[in-house]
Parts: sequence; C-alpha cells; structure tokens
Amino acid sequence: MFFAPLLAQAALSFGPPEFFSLMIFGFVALSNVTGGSIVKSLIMAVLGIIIGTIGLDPVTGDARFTFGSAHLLGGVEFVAVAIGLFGIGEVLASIEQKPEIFDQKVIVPRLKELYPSFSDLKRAIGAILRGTILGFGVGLIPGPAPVIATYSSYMLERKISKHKEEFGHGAIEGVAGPESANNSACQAAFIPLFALGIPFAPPTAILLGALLIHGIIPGPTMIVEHPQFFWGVIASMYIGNFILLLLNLPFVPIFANILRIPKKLLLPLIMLFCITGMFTVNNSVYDIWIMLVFGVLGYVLRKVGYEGAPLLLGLVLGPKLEVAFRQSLMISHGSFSIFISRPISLAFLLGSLIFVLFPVCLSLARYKKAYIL
Amino acid sequence: MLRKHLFLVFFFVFSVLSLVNANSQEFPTKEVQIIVPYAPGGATDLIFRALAASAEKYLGKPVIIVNRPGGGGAIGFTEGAKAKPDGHTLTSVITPVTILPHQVSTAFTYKDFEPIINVVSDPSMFLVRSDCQWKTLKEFIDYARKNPGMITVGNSGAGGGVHLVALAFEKTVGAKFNHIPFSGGGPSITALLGGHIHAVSVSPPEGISHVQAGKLKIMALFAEKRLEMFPDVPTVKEQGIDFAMGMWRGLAAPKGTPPEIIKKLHDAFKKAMDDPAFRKSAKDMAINLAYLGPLDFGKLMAHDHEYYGKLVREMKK
Repeated sequence: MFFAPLLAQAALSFGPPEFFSLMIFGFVALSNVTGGSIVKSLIMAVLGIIIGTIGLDPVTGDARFTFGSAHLLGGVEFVAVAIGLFGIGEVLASIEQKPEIFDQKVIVPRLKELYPSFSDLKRAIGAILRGTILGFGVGLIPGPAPVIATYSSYMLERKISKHKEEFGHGAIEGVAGPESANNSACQAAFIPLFALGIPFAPPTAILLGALLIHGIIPGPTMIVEHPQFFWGVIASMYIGNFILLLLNLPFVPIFANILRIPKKLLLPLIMLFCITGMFTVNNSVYDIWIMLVFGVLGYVLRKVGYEGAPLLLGLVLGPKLEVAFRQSLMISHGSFSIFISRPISLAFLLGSLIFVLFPVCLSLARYKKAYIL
Repeated sequence: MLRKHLFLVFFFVFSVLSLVNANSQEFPTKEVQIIVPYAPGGATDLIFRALAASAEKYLGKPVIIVNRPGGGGAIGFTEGAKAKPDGHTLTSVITPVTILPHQVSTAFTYKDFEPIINVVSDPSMFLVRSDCQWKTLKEFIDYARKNPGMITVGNSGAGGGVHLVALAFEKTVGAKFNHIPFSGGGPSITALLGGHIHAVSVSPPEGISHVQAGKLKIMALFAEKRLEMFPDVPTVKEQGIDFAMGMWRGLAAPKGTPPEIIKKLHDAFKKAMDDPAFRKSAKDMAINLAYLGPLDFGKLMAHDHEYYGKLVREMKK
C-alpha cells in the first residue's frame, strides 16, 4: 500500500507491444493448465481464440462472424461458455453414470475433517504466499486479472508440487494458491484506480462511480487531497477480510452438508441454477442458448478427452491479444521490430521461448541419454 | 416420492410466473439500466454513473450502468436500440450515434431511439504529456505537417466522435496523424501517460485530473470559449485556426417507448441534473451541463446526423 504510486508507474510502462508479448507469454505458460497433452491443449486454445473473434472488429468496427445477428455483435459471453463447458457439461456427463451411483450412500464428513489440519496448513502456506505475490503482479495489469491470476497460480503450484498426482483430486495447494492469487489480484486492481484514476476491472469501475458522486476524483492527487478516504479504504480491506473469516467459520459445516443432497436431486438443481444464473448476468435468453450449446460441446470434449480450460483461456486472452497486436503495428507503421526493441516486451517473448524450448530440450536430452546407454 | 416431484414442478412454474408478472405493474417496476457503449472510466461512463446515482432518488428504483464497449460504440447502441421499449433499458446516446451509421453498416440510426434528455455538451481537445517535445500548438502542427503519420494520436474507438474530431482537425490544418484506436478514453489516456503514444483526442472529464496534476497538458482546445477550469489555456480559434468541435451526451430509450414513460424518465433525470450532488460532481469533472428536452434533443440528433453524414462522405473521397 505504501508503494502504490510507484507500482502504478510500473503498470504504465505496459503499452500495446508489452501487452502483446505478455499475452503470448500467458498463452505459452497457461495453455497447458490441466497437464494433459500439449497438442490437445493448444488445439483448444486456438478454438477459444477463434470463438473470441466473433463480434465487432475492435479496430475497424466491422461485424465479424455474426451472421447478421445483433446478439453476436458483442461477442460470445464468457460466462455462458464457462458455465456451459463446466457446469452443464458435468451434469450431462453425470447422467450417463450407472443408477447405482445415484443411490450410493452419501459421504457425511465429520466436523473435525472440515477444518484444515496442521499438516494441511503446512502444505498450503507456500501456495498461499506464492499465489498472493503472483496475483498482486497480475492485478496491476489491465484486463481480466482474476481469471489470469487464478490460472497462473494453479499452473505454478502443479509445476512445483511434490504431490502432482493429487492435482485434480483435491490437492490443497491447488485450491489455496489460486484462491489467494484471485483475492490478491482484486486488491491490486485498486492501485491503478487510486494512483491513476483509471479502473482496470469492472469492480473498480463501480467504485470509481461511487467516489465521483462524493466529489472525490481518483487520480495522482487523491492520496494527498483525501487521505482520510484513502486510508479508510485500506483499513476496510483488513476489517472486511477479518469479518469474512468470522462469518465463514461457523458456516463451514452447513456448506459441507450440500454433499448430503442425493445426486438425483442435485443434478436438476444445478441445471436450474445454471440457467437462472446465466439469465441474470445479462438478462438475456440468448446467453442461455449459448450456454446450452457449450454445455453439449463440453460433454463431447469430455468424452473425447479434451480439456475445456484452454478454450476458456483463448476466449479471454484472444481478443486482447488481437487488439494489442494491431495497435502495436499501427504505432510502428507495420514494423514487427517494435516487439523486440522494447525491453519489457522482449523479456516476455524470450520467456515464452524458454517455456516452449525447455521441455523440448529436456526430452531431447533424455532421448539422447537413453539412446547412448 | 410423487409429492417431492410435484413440489419441484410447482417451484419451477412459480418462478417463471413471477418473472412474467413483474412487467404488468406501473413503471418503473424494477431497476432501470443505462447502457454505456464504452469502457468503464471514460467520459460517458463517469458522467452517467454520477447522474444515475442522483436519479435513483427521483425514480424510486436503482439505476444501473451497464458497460457494453466495442466497435466505437456500435455494440452498445445496437443493443440499446433493440432493447424492449418499456423504459427499463435506456442508452447513453452520444455524438457517435449520429456518426457511426455513415461509416459502417450499423443496425441502428438515431431514428431507432426516442430522445429523453441531453445532459452534457463538451468541447474536444488534444492532450499531450507535459514533458513532450512540442512547446506550442504551432510547433506541434509544424511537426505534424513535416512528418506525416509520425505523431500517434489515440482515440476512444475507431470511427468514434473524438476520432472524427482528430480527422477533421488534421484536414483543417493540412497535417496527417497516425490514429490508434482504444476501447474507451480511459485506456487511451493510460497509453499516453505511459508514453506509448504522443497525444490523445478526448473530451472532458477524460484526463482532467492528470492535467491538474501536471502530468498532461492541453495542446489544442477545440472550443468556442476557454474552459472554466483552465482559464489560461487558449482555444485553437484564438490561435488562428477556425475549428471547434464537441460532443454531446444524452439519454434515449428504444423507439416505441410509450410517451408517458418518456415523460416520467425525462422529469426524473431533469431533477437529477439539477440535484446539488450531481451539479457538484459535474463541476469537479469539468463537464459542461447543457439541458435539452426530448423535442430539442431530437432536433439536435437529426441535425448532427446530416452534418456528420456530409463530413464523413467528404473524408472518404
């Protein structure tokens, strides 16, 4: 919090070329988020980017792949794709399971098992710290920071974990790290708002509106002109988190009781919540259809062994990548050197290269060794 | 067993019915949405967020801002024009609503909207970094004439109002800029602050706080008279360039909204405009309030539709 102005200055050094390289780095580092086949992950990421091109061209304003439909002008709603792929897809896949599973005795966890044990905490603490630092860095950059922070942290934890096989089956690091990163990214998003007066994410934009109404204009002079407000917000973040903890602890057993609901009731309820939840996002029935289409796609992907996560990543990062790419080339009059002549951009591109080449070299070395022996 | 299932069916039917029912009561029956076709943090967004907060008192229901950025505003305008004409979904219509239809094939023109009220009318301006190489407007223009396409000028979206202002200005002074589109005024100012572009074409309140803080300065002010907040910044007219262009920002409902609902909305937003809280934030943001009722606002939109149509056709030649 003391370095807010400084950090905001650092965020400013990200122009279009830097964003482009950062997005490339993001793709390379995150596309294999679930640890399956790299080729399959990349196929899904590219599919996501393709879906992301639907809508109005961000640079010229022409409609692309909308087939004359006004609903598609704004692109495919990210939330609809996410709920469809994971929520509906999961429900559809569960329906196929044998009926015995539905009548299976539900697991009733004991109270003691619900709270993290000391060894759980010990495993999680590293993940929490790493997630917090990572999320903070990501939050300073405009864009869908919470999504990127969550993914990156999960990737990081899985890469360095000693219990790789547990990931996807409830490894505590896989939950603690991304959640910390998510929280931290949200808090970090306040820095550009307070120091520059520019909201990088929807929640900060709403706060900006609230501030203006009270005659406080966030910007370079705000901390000096309205110190009582600035420190008030900082304090409220601490108090808010503490109260959240107090409220949540007693409710843990109640939340856990959701596990007791038999699956045959749970599945239609999930379906209902997906549909109503989707409607409330934009009050749009069209989005529900999109969600259902992606639900079927999610089911098919599950059947053929493809992951939905890289598709989602492509959908989120793709449009940003495109805009940054085209803005950069407009600034440089079409010269690609803009991406390597700027240090931050170059660093991200080199990082991406290392990310790609490292596994290749590693397997090459292994192959050689095996061959010689 | 059967009873359980029946309960679920009832639950579902009830929830559907309650949705349908909500529409038949007196206006406004639920929150009123204002579609802002630009990213959060831009001028339109800031102004209507402030207005929405004041309007809640007079409408008796929450007023919510929904950002639908992209395509220089076309996405939001299209959605706004196609919204249900029941007064619950309004659109912040600003100058580009009369420009865009001439530039790209859009699914809307100003005729697809019922004017409610005009709120703001602001001059446009060019901002540059305080430490830039040009000390005066003359130096800036001379450089632009000698190095065509070398000065990068950000705007809030391709074909948007400030983009057109920049195009019209370069034509007037015989220069050529390199126009870089961003999705909203906020991102373009961030890029200018970071030194990634040379200038931005904006209109207040965008960038005002950075001008006050001394990070940015007004290079060219395209107004008839000087800004109240910066009385020592001359207009370009004073410097011998006959050029003034601005942006208006108002509220409209989809075509076909009943007149009594338009009147209700107009009265509520008129009161919100006169609300001391809104007056104060308007002053803080350095925006120029300019009230017009539904009739006059409609005339303004019709006039500008013609004017920009001519301008765009000339430019395309």
